[in-house]
Amino acid sequence: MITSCLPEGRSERGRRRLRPEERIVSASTQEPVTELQTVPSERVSRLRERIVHAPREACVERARYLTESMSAHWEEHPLTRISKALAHVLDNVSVVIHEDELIVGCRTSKLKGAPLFPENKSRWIEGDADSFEDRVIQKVCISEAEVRELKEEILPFWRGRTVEERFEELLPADVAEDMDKYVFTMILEITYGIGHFTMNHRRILERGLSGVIADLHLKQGAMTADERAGEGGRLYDAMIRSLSAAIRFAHRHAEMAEAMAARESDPGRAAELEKIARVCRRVPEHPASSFHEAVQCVYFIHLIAQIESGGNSISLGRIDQTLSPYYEADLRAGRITPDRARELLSLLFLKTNEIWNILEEAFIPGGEGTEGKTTQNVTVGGMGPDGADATCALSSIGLDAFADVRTVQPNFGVRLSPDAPEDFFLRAIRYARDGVPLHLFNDGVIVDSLVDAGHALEDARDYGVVGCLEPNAQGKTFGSTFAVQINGVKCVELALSNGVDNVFGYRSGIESGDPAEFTSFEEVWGAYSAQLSHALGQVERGMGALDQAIAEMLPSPFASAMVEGPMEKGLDLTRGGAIYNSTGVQLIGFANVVDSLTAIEKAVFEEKFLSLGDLAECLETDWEDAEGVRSHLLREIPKYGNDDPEADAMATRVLTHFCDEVLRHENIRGGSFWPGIFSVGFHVAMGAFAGASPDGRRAGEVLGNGITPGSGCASSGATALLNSVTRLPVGRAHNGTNLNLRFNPRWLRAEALASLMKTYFELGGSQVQFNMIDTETLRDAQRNPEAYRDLVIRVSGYSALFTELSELAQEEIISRMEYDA
Amino acid sequence: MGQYYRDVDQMFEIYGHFLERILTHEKIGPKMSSANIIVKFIYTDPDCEITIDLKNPPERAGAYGSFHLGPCDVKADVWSRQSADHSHRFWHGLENPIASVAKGKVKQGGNVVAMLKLLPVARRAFEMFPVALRELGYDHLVLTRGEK
Repeated sequence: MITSCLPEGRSERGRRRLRPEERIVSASTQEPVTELQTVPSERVSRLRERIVHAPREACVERARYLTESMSAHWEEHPLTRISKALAHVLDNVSVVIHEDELIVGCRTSKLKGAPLFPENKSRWIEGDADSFEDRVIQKVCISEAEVRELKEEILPFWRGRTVEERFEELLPADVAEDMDKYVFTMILEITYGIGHFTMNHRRILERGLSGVIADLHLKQGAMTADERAGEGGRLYDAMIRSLSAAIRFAHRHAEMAEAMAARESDPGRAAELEKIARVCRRVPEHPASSFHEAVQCVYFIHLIAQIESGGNSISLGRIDQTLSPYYEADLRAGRITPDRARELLSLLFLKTNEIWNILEEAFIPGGEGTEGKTTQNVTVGGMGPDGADATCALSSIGLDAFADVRTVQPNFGVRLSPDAPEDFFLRAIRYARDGVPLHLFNDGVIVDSLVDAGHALEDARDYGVVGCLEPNAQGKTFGSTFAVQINGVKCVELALSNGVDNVFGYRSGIESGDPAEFTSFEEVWGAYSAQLSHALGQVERGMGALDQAIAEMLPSPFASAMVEGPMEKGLDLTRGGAIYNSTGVQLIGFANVVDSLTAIEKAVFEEKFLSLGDLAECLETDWEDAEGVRSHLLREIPKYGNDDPEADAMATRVLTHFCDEVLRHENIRGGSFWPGIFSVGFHVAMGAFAGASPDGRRAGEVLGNGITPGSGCASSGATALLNSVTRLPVGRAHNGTNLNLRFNPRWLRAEALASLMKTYFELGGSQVQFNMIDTETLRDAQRNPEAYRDLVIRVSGYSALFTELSELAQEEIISRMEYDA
Repeated sequence: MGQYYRDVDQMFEIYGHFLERILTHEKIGPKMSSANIIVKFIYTDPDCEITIDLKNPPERAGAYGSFHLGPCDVKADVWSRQSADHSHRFWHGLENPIASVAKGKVKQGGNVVAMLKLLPVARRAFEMFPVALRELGYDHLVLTRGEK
């Protein structure tokens, strides 16, 4: 029997409680969760196998054609030269239609090929290219001829002309120095652009690119000569040039398909190729007239945006809402079946696995497993702009389609409104229980959060998700959502060392006072706050330089035509053209900050177990000769995640303070800094660079990920953990929060998970993701990686292949609490 | 030739003594050993290599790891290439490891993530390096902040 997992009365804390009839599943439901049909089509199975086992390869084609064009037009306006370069790339890169495909389009000539973006940052390519194939993590195949071409013909042009070099010119010297101290990171969005946006696919599906071009001509016609020569006029020119090239790119696919059909001996495949040709002749140039055309149109637009600027987590967004009108129309006309729609969506999802980027080797520790920052989010379900639940037939079909592929990409999310249909919710839960790597979003919390952040209510309700889990208005936002990571534990460390880094011994923070002289916990808090505040101030100045460098050097006219705002304002996305602009700042090591400050308050100032000076010395020496102290702090002090009111109160204070501090800052695109608490791989990397912490953690050990309690700390069970998490005002963290739960699937019934999640969302949980893999399986995967090549696990907001992670990251996954529920 | 070392022999003398000190140190040694990796440092000016083996059983009693001055048959998990001068400044705590990699002063390959396991010993090792230099009579090679 399913029972509510949290104690009575917990929902009386001011959060809206669902009415009984609104509940996703009754607390007394005894019905077994719906059986699932997970039988992918043979084509989907074949293509899945092919992409999962494809070698990662570099491809220099994009860099070659971009460089050819940029060198010919370098003296022209940045909008003009980048749009000419995009056109040159789209007109010349290889057009490849792989065997069995129905949805077509590739960024490179290789199946799992990564293009290079030397215009952003080129020094690393020069340094890394020779050893791409020698890598242990993210090994990349590249031919000697391609390395030679890079070094002799492509990279020399970019010396002194990259965004990175312009950024270095603009960056204040003191911020440059602080950037290397691992208190914060803020240069991730150079290598592959800012990205992190969803596009207004609905407009392209309805109008076609030809319709958008017509709109642009109208705008140009209404301009004065001076205006046409100005920023807006140049932008419209660049948009028209880019969109026209996109149409030609699709037509090149049509020509290729026609040629392949003519040569094809199998009549069935020949018919498919002819269909592909017809589809590519029509979209994206014209409005889509069928579901197949709509899917292909979405993928072309998605692909070209990824070719233009690097594809840093450019996301598909609300795929069911985008495509549903075309599915319903085809269904009514008898032109499609649910199974056919499911297959096409599976094929779309598989295509996203071809999109990946090569990580700089120096940045692998913070981003391993992320497919080189190409995390492409897609959601199904959720409410519509009017507030009514908009879950539709295609939502369930999309869910089934993703369950058929279960791949690292796309990063698949299920939005749940308070009125979500029960069968849809249960379907998602059952898939989660079966190990489908998805995450769940609670509309009730996220919509309020976005309104609080300044979104119009309709836009908040229509949020898409980008990157790992960052919500913002679909097709209306340019949110640099993964711009900054702040090492919260390092701020605690610096507060207890008067600004000296305990790992390296040099000054990394400001002088916030000698801890031996602190007489109250509030003085410790003040020092922590001062360190955090200083770091954020540095970040704002640094991000200003970074955003300016990108806006000056690499505008994005194609993407600007796909997002609402730039056409209306006559302003490129990178200059603040979008309707909503934000910069995401994540707190890394949240649980460790909470537990450390709780430990100081209790052990030092309440219990008088030791002095603050003695504690500071223990931390400086990484607990040398102080195992008793460490053990006390680790085991005797309450930890966040165990339904302990004191620890949870500290968690609320830390989260609220962080959000308040971040929200004080603004970016140069006319938006605010948004706080978030999720960590990608930085809980591993920033942990490595952090000294011992007062929660009993040793120097170098991994940090807690997202808002998840520290590994091994939430030992009171999943219910207690959720009690703690739902005490947090997570809606203040507009950029999103991540909770990881790991269950042993052997002991977890779907009904129990459904009840747990229902209650979690009722009480105010925002997001959750699962790993349903027991330790024994993960250990076996470490021993026999070849047998587990497609084992997908959730890291912190994204999926990754377990066997492609470093041992450190694998051990972090294994160390996560495993609940039986 | 670089700024600090006159030849490979001098470099091996200094690093041999330094590594001996930290690999037998009762506090630093166990932490290094727990990294369980083999790291090869490849130096330029003077050109040479040094391998630290923290994976195989130590060759000498009382040590928590082994090291090899010059080429050896031990297969490294990770390698790091840098100038000898850069290394000299690094072991004084005067070069930021992140900036060094990001700016191309240090190139590394192999299981680079595993290198992170050595970070907890960095500060103690930085303190030990000048001590080792002085013990060998190389006081003039000891650097202070601002003397890069």
